[in-house]
Amino acid sequence: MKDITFTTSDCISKPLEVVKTLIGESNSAEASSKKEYDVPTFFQNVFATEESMFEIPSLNDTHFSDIPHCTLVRFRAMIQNTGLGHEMFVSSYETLGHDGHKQWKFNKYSDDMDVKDEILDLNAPGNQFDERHLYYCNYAYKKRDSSSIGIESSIEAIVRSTANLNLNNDKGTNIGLEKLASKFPFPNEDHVAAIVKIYDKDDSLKVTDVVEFIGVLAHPSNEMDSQGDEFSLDAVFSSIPCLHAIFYRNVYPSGNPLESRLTDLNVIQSQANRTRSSLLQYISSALGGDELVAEFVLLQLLSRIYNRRNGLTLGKLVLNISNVPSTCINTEENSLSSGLIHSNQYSKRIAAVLESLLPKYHDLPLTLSTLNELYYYPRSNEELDSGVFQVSQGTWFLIDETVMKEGKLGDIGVRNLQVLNEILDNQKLKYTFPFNDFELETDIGVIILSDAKSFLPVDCIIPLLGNPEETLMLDVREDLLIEFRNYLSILRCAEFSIPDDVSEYIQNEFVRQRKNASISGHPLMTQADLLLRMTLARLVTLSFGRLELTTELWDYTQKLDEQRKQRIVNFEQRP
Amino acid sequence: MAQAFQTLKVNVNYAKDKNEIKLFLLKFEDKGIQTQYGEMDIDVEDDNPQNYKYLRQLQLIANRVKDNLIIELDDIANWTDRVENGLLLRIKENIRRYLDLFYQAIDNKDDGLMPKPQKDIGIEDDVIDVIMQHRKDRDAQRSEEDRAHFPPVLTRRYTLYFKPLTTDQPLSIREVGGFCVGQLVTVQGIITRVHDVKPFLMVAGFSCEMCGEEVFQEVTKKTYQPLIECPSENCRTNNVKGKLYMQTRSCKFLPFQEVKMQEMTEQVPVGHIPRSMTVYLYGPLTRTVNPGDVVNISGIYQATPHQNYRGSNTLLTDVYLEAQYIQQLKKQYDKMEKDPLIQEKVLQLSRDPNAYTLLAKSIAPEIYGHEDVKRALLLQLVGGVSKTMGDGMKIRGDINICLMGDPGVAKSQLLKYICKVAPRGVYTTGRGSSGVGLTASVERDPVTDEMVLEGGALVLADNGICCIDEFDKMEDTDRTAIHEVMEQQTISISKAGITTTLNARTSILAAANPLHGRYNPKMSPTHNINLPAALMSRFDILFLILDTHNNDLDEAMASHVAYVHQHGKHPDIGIDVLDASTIRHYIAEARTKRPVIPQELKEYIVGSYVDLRREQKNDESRKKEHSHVSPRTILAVIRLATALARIRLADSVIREDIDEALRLLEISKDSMRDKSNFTKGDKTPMSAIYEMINEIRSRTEADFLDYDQIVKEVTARYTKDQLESCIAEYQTNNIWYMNEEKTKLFYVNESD
Repeated sequence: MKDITFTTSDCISKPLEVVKTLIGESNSAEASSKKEYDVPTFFQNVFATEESMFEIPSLNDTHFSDIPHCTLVRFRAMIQNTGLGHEMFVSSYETLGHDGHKQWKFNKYSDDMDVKDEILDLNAPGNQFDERHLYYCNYAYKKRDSSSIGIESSIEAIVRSTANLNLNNDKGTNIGLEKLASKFPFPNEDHVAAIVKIYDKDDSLKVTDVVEFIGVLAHPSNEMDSQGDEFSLDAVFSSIPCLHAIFYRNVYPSGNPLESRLTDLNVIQSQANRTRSSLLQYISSALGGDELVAEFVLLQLLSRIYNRRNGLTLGKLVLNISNVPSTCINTEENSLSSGLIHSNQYSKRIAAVLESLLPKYHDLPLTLSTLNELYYYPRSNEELDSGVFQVSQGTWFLIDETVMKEGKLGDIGVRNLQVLNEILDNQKLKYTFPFNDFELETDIGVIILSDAKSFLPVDCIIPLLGNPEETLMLDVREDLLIEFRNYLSILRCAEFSIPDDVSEYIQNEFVRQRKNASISGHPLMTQADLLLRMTLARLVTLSFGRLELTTELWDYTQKLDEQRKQRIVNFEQRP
Repeated sequence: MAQAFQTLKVNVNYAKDKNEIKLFLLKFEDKGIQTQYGEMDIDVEDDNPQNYKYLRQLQLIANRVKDNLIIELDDIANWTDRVENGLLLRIKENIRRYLDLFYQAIDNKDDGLMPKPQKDIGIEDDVIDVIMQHRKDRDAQRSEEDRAHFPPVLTRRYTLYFKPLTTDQPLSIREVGGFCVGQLVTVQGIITRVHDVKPFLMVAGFSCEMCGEEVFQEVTKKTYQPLIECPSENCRTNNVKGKLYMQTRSCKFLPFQEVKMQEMTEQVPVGHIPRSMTVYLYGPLTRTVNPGDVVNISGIYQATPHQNYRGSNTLLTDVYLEAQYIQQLKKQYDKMEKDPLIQEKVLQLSRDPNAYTLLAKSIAPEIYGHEDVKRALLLQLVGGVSKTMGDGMKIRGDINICLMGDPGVAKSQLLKYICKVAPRGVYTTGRGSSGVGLTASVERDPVTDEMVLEGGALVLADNGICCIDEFDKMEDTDRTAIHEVMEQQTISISKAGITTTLNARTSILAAANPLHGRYNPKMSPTHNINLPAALMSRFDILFLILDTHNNDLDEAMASHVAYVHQHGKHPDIGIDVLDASTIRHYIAEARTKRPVIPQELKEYIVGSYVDLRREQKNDESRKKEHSHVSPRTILAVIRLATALARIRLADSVIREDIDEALRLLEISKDSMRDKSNFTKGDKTPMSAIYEMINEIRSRTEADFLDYDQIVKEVTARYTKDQLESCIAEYQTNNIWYMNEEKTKLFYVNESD
């Protein structure tokens, strides 16, 4: 075949022409063999480097109306719904010009017909059909620079949302947008959504996966049903852009969104001790200087589900920080209008720290109104609507139980709590469908703040002793924050192992402790305690930048857990 | 993928196929009928139309008795077996075309197969039939070319359907792709939404205002452009543009219904969202499905160009399934389907003599130990046989179990596992449920605003197991609500004007903590348990699980946990742990059995019951009673024994079943014995040494044991004092004796 050369900018500004040329060339060259030209590979080669990738405008930070129709875009998004199925379309068709001139047209990566004066014969026998798979994807505008959050960004958000709303002043559009909002886990937050059309069958793309799609942008058709009152799916979907994916890649194959090319495991490991102590300092500054709690928070941030087999879920650590003072600033305004944002001053402090450290973090104040009025789980009647917990793997929630008041739970509230329990217990999220429920696996980090012991099932409870008013939040430089983030995200995914001799040591220790406790009449250590300690030991090991458990680290873990238990005992005995 | 839709260029001789079809319809003999009539006088009845399945049906259609004709592809397969010509395949691949061919073969004016009606129009016939008759009569007076205006669809008063091969495997919705377009596919799914039945215009009838001519227009698409000008000869020759008006009465409508079908849980790959598909039902098929039904729908997978809001065509297509045949799989979707693969496994398991132990071990494999508790839970899952007496009295077969114990002994995990395995398991906590929550309540349906009776956990668990955690934390008033359920297996409610008795044939698995959270060995068991006797006696078995220190068990538990964390999977416990679905299927199979207790075993049961009562009296005199042996105990023994027989998939109870039942009861009683002195129940140094010596004996196979050897082995773990006291203790029990020199240990021969 001839060498076809296109520049990168050609590929970005007129991808369809490039595709047409490629397919046309190959078809004429080897008409006999029905094999189609491999467009995805071609584009992948053009955009092989990250630098070239960055040249493609991104839907994530530019509003689609600012990007011309039919140009190449990239879109980093979470797949919300894979249930849209496939769509059949005419991939090549014959047109008949007025002069009787017949012409073949190829149609891929576009919904537009390339027909001007000609007559399109949809029933022509030579028309080729093809199918493509539809996914509904969305992405939250991320306010990463939380240190500088202020009026500017919120105004910006409003402008953005109005930009979304003012697409069409038709009443229908608004309802359509409402429907769209329900497909995003946090209905009151801004987000971008798009229909992504994939041309190859790929079952590996799963719900809540985060994927970067590179493809041709198609603006929403903006054709609103004149009747206005009938809302079909098309009406909703025609108000959002569509992306014809040419190729795509999983953004975080290792589950690590911050994977930076500059740092690797060795560097992190060598600095682990230093980073660990300064990170502890940073976390404890938000916790009133309570370093023990800070240490457990750090361990929690390193946790992830690393094994799941036959009903076994290993690695989860749901942390409950009890005795959190509640100093609500505006108790009355605690309605949905304030959204899912903490109102407890103290929770805000912790949230700010977590937000600065974690790639994906959300507030979840557990009030009766959020429980009764929001959906925590995705549900479907005709269409799949999202719920708060439909988030990608490795998202953290800070659940604030201190704002909970006595009151009545409605039907939704009860279901929400059930869903929450199921996530905390098994890390499984229920999707409800008519007559059917599906459980999908999740990996959601949860820290629960509560006044007394939480009523949710937790793995590990620790009462807070520090006085938050006494300390100031530590102001940390951005480069140190980046170091923290790298530390957390890389060690979190590191491989970990327990040598046989350490395993033996742990077993003997356990037996010895039970024996001692039995003699002295103390409560015995149970299987659950041991399981928790094994989980903690793994996290402790990782937090020191180590990948293998040693007896010293086990003893350290034991000491840590003993301290925690002692504190619970002390706390309970307090008058 | 690129070439999913290739244009098929096949040489098909439709005319030839049409003849073949005609022949088939004419000559296909119904086997069932044939054996009835045929054997009597084959020669005479040879040409009787009653012998021919489809001719017979056509006659019924002509007589306006039937309005649908189902062509079974099985019949075509049988028919074409004789002449292999691929007709069947062609029909399946191009079903729409062949549907027309079948219609043509039947309807064709001159050589169609439709027989003449055997009776005249009567008053019981439809209006449309009367009109058709009128038309026919008028037709007869008309000239030939006028007749051509009648589309065959109009005069046809039946619908033809294909029934797929019984061997066709149903596909899931995601498997139906572009390659299926135009073919007959069978899809399985659950109906999620049913739209209203609407009239679908098949033939629009118009009449001309100028010439009065009737004009018909056949509608084949979802949208159509009504005719405006009269195309008749009359108007054309007069050169007038006759305006057409639609005449509803002369139109032909067909009931039409749109239905949404969705994939079922097991058809969706992990991590995906189920897909749905639109199904169109026409004619007699409408109103045959309801939301929630699990169905196999066979139909023509069709695609039409998608139209956007301006009504113009786009390059997209809408796809739908035009139903041909609907098979209802089951009305209730929670019934289990028998998978041949699992069925085979179940059969294999039933032949295994160790099935009982294997099944018990597979219950909650992540929880270490508690084997007798797991056995009892297995028996609960299987359940005993419930009987209804002649006078309407019912004897429950469900086994109720109560687990009591220290926090952290995995009671809740056991409960949750049982809940998962049981076909209808409901898990609830005592603290979180009031009596109403457990029984039933009246609620307003949010969609329809109707008052509905909402079953609580116990009603929902009808024919299943209700697991109640933290039983002790329940309010006393709420707990009494359970009394009725546990013995009578019904729930009576009367509120909001509804008085009814609901069935709650459920087994109850309760878990409770001892009083004050932890078992206090200094107090008597009755004090610790803290449940009223009325409730206690309703539990067939009560286990007390205490968390006490024990070297061997602790070690095993620690290594289990360590192994799990080290290797990310459960340690190999010597057997293949059965998965939940196999257990469920085995239990389902076991529950179909209704074993009986043979006469000769009745006395044995009576005897053992008398023994139990005597023992109880002894205990009472020693002030050490822990549980009450009441007439309910004998029922418990029978229930457990029948459940054991069910596990063997046997039809009668044998003596071993009763022994095992008694043993379980004994264990449960044992677990409640006083824990303050360490001589009973748990493994003490003494019993451990005894076991060690026994083990040595089994190795040596001699009549006596060498004392030095015993000392050497035992003192590796225990002191010599302990050994000596053990030997002394068992000597007084007449198990063994030492010779004078204290060098040899003799066992007392059992046969002596």
